[in-house]
Amino acid sequence: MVDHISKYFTSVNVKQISIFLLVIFMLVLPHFASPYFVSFFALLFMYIAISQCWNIFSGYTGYWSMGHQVFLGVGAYTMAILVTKFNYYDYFVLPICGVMAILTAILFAITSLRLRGSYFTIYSIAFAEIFKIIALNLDWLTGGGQGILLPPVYKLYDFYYQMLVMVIVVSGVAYFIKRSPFGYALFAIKDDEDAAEAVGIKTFLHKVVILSLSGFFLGIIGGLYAEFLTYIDPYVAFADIPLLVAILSAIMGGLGEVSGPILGALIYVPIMEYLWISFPYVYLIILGFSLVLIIRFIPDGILSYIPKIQQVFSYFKSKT
Amino acid sequence: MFMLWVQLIVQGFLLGSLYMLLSLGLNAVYGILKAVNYAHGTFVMLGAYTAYWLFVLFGINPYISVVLAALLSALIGALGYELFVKPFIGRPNFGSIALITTYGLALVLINTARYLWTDVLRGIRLVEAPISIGDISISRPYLYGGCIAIGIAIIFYFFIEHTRLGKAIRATSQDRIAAMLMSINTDRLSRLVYTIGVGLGGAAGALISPIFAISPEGGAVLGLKAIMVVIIGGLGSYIGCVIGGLLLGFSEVFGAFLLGASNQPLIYLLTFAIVLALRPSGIMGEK
Repeated sequence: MVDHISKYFTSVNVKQISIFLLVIFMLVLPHFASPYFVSFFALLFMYIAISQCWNIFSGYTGYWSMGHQVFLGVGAYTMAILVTKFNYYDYFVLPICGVMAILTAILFAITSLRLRGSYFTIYSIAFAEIFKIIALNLDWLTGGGQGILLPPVYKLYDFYYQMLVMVIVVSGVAYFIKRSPFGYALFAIKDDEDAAEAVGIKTFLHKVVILSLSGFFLGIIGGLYAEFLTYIDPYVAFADIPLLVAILSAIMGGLGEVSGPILGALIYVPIMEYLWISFPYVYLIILGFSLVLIIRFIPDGILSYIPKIQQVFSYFKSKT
Repeated sequence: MFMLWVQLIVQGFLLGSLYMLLSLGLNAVYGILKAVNYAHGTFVMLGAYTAYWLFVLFGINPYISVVLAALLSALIGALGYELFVKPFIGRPNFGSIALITTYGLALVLINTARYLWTDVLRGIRLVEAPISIGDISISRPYLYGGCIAIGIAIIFYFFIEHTRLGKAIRATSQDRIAAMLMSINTDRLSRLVYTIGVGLGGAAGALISPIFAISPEGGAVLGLKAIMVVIIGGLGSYIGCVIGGLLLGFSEVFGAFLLGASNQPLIYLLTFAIVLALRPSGIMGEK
């Protein structure tokens, strides 16, 4: 019996145990950390979740989108309009945010997915810009440039747990997609879309579905973020800098890997947070330079170095 | 009523030719690198600031400082090219990577400008009466700007079509590897074209400085417009650049007249979306 149990424990992966312990630690963290740390970790989780959402579309299919903030913005505005204009706050608010983001994603997909490579990337920038301008001009619905003030409620701890759940859910979805036939089809599209089409993969449908999924989660994150900020305007809701940080996190960690965005954001976001606090005026200049350094020196992500490190270790082991 | 339409057409034509110059450099860079230079609008902003400061500090007319603005933009552009574009040439997916790295270049330049000159909206005010011909009146900045833009475009056209260097640029745009085999130094050519393209952007910036307000962020909007012009016309096509510029100019002027000025951004974005939905590779694009 004892033998059996010990066998079970040795067969459990070290990785699984460490993830489990990390989640437990994160669950109890707000009970002893200061509010600053809690809000820092909440934003860190948000970046991880955004990065993961970007990764399941762009990392898996190879279509680099720079307009994913549009889903965050649509989710945030859906939340704000439902709460302030319709006085509706219920369990269905978040799914509605997600569904609105899905509708946006379908519009995005229908208009853009005939384009490839840099054409698609440019179109995604323009698409997000169109939504920002619509939000600026649709005064009766969005309040225009003045923005919308949500009922101010102190929600830091709620937001922390919501973002933690989002990270776990999105990472889980990314994990299962990557190991499903659907995921293999997406990677086939990344490698060679025409060949994928030729072997019978419905590439357009796959791209629409994965973009909608990515948009759905981003819409929910956007809604939660609006609720946390209690104020949104078009420049906050459709801001491009957070998405840029998320994209760089994904690239830094490793594109198309589930743990890539998590690792990348864990390293990159704290550095950026530190720079943001210490050099507020030149922060964005540093961001620009860091972007080029990351893409230049770690183009395949930190994860691509792990096999090399293992090689070094095995070399030393064989020596002794 | 008829004169009003003539007035709108003239206005749209002049604005369109400014947009054409704005996007000409971007188009040249796309032709040779097969990548969109997102920072193009930032160099337009730099050119506009050059003209502004020369006007404020030394009283130099912005139409004279066009040359200086172009040179300064070209100089900074050459530096930016070495750091932000050159290391990535040859990577798979270079088109998208270059877009992100030049996005970084734009961030660096915009925020340096913001750090140096703050976010205040600035503008050159040339107090001159508009020219009137019959019932049509044309404001002078538009007229001068439009004419100089057309002049620069014609010079650029001759440079591309009728010089050895222009021939080399066209050859490299068509087939980089074959051009390399014909002993064209494509690396040096790429840098040269990037510098020229960015310099054209700077010249356009000096020309628009008496028309639009100048701010660090304003460059991003102009850059987006330039990208739209190039995509509407078809990436890499110079004729498409002219057509796209005029289309954007007309749609902006007529849209502002028919639907009100506050909807102006919506109108050109809608034009862009419609053209792209009908012809994904642009009006003059291949395929």
